[in-house]
Amino acid sequence: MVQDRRVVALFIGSILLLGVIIGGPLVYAIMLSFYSAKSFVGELQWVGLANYAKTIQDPLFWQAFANGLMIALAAIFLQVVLGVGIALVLNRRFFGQSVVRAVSILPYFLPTVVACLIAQWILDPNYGLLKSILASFGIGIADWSAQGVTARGTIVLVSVWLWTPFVITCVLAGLQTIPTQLYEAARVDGAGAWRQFWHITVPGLRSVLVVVILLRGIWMFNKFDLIWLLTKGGPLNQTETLPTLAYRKSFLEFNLGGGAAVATLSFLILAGVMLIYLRLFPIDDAKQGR
Amino acid sequence: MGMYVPGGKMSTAGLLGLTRRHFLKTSAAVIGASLAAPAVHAQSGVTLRFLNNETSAASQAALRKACDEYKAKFGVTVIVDSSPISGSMEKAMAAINGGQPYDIMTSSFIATVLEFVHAGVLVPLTDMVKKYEWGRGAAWDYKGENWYYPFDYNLVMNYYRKDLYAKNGLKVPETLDQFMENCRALTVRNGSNVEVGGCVIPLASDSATNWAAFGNMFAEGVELFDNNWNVVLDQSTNAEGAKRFLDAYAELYKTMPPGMNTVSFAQLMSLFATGKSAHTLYSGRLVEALEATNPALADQYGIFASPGSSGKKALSYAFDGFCVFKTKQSEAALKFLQWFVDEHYVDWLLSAWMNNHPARMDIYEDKRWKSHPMIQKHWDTMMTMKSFIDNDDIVIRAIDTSGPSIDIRPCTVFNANVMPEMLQQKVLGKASSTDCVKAAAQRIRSLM
Repeated sequence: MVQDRRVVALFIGSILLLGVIIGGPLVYAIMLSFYSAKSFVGELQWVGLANYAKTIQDPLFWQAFANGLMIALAAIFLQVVLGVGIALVLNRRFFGQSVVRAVSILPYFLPTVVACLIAQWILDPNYGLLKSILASFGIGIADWSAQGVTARGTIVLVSVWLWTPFVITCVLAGLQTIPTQLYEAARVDGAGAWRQFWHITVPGLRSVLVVVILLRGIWMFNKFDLIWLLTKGGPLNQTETLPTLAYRKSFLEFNLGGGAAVATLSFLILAGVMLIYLRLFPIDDAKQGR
Repeated sequence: MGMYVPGGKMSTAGLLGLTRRHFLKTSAAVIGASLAAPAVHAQSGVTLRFLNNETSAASQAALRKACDEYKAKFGVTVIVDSSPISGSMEKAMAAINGGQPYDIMTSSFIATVLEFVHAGVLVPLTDMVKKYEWGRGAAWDYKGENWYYPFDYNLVMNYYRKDLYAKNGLKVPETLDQFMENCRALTVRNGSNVEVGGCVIPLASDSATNWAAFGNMFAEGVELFDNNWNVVLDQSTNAEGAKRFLDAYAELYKTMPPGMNTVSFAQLMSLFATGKSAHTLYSGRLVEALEATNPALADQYGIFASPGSSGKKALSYAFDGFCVFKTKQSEAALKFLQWFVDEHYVDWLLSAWMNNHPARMDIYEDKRWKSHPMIQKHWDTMMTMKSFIDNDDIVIRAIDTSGPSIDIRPCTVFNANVMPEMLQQKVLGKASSTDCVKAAAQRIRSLM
C-alpha cells in the first residue's frame, strides 16, 4: 500500500515536472499565436485567429511545408537505405569489424555546427577542398547555393552523412535479434540471398524500422540548425522550411504571433502525420511480427 | 621601542607605529576625503551589467580597463557581458523578461533601439548627446529624444586595388557604367568559372546584404517612402532608378565570384583580403583586417563612394552606440556612461581604430586619437571617410533609415529582407527588373 502511494506520488511528480518543462513553453507558444506582438518586451494584443488566417494564406508557408517534406522524405529514404545496407555489411564477420563499426558511427558524434562548417569548407565554390580537387582535373565547380535543387541536395547529403550512423546502430542491434536458425532453415529450403533478406531480415527489422523512420521523420521535419547553418532558407526561399520560417518571423521580423502560428501549425501537421503513420504501422504489431 | 621611518629618523610611536597626533591627522584626512567624494559613498556596492556586442579582443580589453578603473575610483562594479551582434537583442529582451535587465548596451541596429523605445525600456540620452557636435545624421532623434550615444559610422565604402587599377590603366569610377567596366576588366575567368571577381556585392537574405548592397541604388536617387510614408518604390523616378540599379546588378553579378548567395560580413572582407575579388564593400574594419592578415595589400587599397548612372554618389551605413536601460540603477548607469565618454571614449574608438569612424566631430581634432600610429598610417583614408559625411552632395542612406524620419517601418523592411529578395529575384529567379520592383513594393505595403 505504501509502495503504491510512492509510485503514484512519483508518477504525479513526473507528470507535473514534464508539464512545466514541456507543456509550459508549448502552451505559451500556442497562446502567443493568438496575439500580435512586435517584440518580446512589448504589449500583447489579442487578434484571435488572424495570425492563422494570414499564415494559411501566405504562399511562403506552403512552400516551406513542401520544402520541409521534400527534404525530410529524401533524407529519410537515403538514410534508411544506406543505413540498412551498411548495417548488413557490418553484421558479417570480417577482419577489423569492431574498428569499422566504431568508425561508421563517428559522424553521429559530430556537433551539427561542426559538420556544417566542414561541409561548407569542402563545398565552398571559392576556397573549397572539392573545388581544388576538381580543378586539378580541369573541372569547375557549380555554386551549390545558387540553385534550389543543389541547395536542397546539399542539405540532404549533409544530413545523410550525419544521421545515417543512427540508422546503422539501430538496424545493427535489430539484426542481432533475428535468430540465425531462420537463415539456416531458409538456405536448406533453397532460398537465395534476396529471398532471405525480403522474407526474414525485413520482417525481423520491421519494429526497428518503424521506430527509426518515425524518429528520423520527426527530427528531419523539425530540423532547423543544419538548414540555417548551410543556407538560411535561401536561395529565394527554396530551402525555407516551417522551423526556419517560424524562426525568421519570430526572431528576425519580430512578428512573434506570426512565428508562433507557423510553429503551432507545424506541430499540428506533424502530430497528424505521425498519428496516421502509427495507425498504418502500429509499433506493437510490428514488435510481434504481425 | 624604536622604529625605522623612511628618512632616517627613529620614531617613538607605540605598538602600531602611531602617535596620537599622527592618528588625529590620519582620521581627519580620511573624513575629509570621504566628504569630498560623496559619489563613492552613494554608489559603492552598485553593480551594473553591460551588454557589449563589440567582441574584438581589443574592444573588450578597452572596456574591461575602463570598468576596472571605474570600480577603483567609485566602487561601482561593471560586469561586461560580450556577445556577438546577432542575437544580442534577443539576449537583452530575455534579460528584461527574466527580471534582470542589463543597464547599458551597445547597439548596432536602429531597429533594436526603436523596439526598446516602443517597449518603454530605454532612458533618453538627449542631454548627454547635445553636448557635442555630431556628423551628418548621427545624432538622430526619435519622439524628440536621443536614445543612444553614437560612437561610429559604419559607412559601406567600395574598396579597390590600386595596384590592379594601375596595371590595367583604370581610373576611379565616376559613374555606374565606369564601375561596371572596371569590374569587367578586372575579372579573371577560368572557362566559365570566375577565379578572381570583378566585385563582390552580397545577395543573401541577411543584414549584411541589407547593409552593404544598396549604395548604387541610393545613388540612383531611389526612395522607398514619400514624406507621408506611402510606399513609392514602384512609382515614377524611383521605379526607373530601381530598375536601372537591378539591371546593373545583374551585369555586375556576372563578374562576381560564386557563392554570393551565402556571402556575409566575414566573406565580404576575406574575398578581398585573399585576392579573390578586385573590389568589395565594407566599413573601415576591412583596413584593420588587411593590416592583420595581408599587410602588403594594406598599402594597395583605395576607397570610393558607390556611383549612380548619372555620377551621383551614395553610401549605405549603420551606426553603433550606447543605450541605457530604464532600471533601478539607471542613474548609476548614466553616471558611468558620462564618465566613460569623458574619460575613455578615445580609447574605445582606438580599440577598433578604423572601424570606429568617429561620429562625434571633436574627435577629429583630438591629439591622442590623431596620433595613433594606424590612424596616422591610414590618415588619407580616414579623411576621405570624413569627407563623405561632410559633403552634402553625397547621399548617406540605408534601408532601415529610409523615409522622412527615423521610424520602425523601414526597419521592418530591413528585418523582412525585402530588398535582398528583390536582388535574388533578379539574378537567381531571372525575373524582369519591373516585376522585381513591383513585387518588392507590394511586399513592403503588406508589411506596413
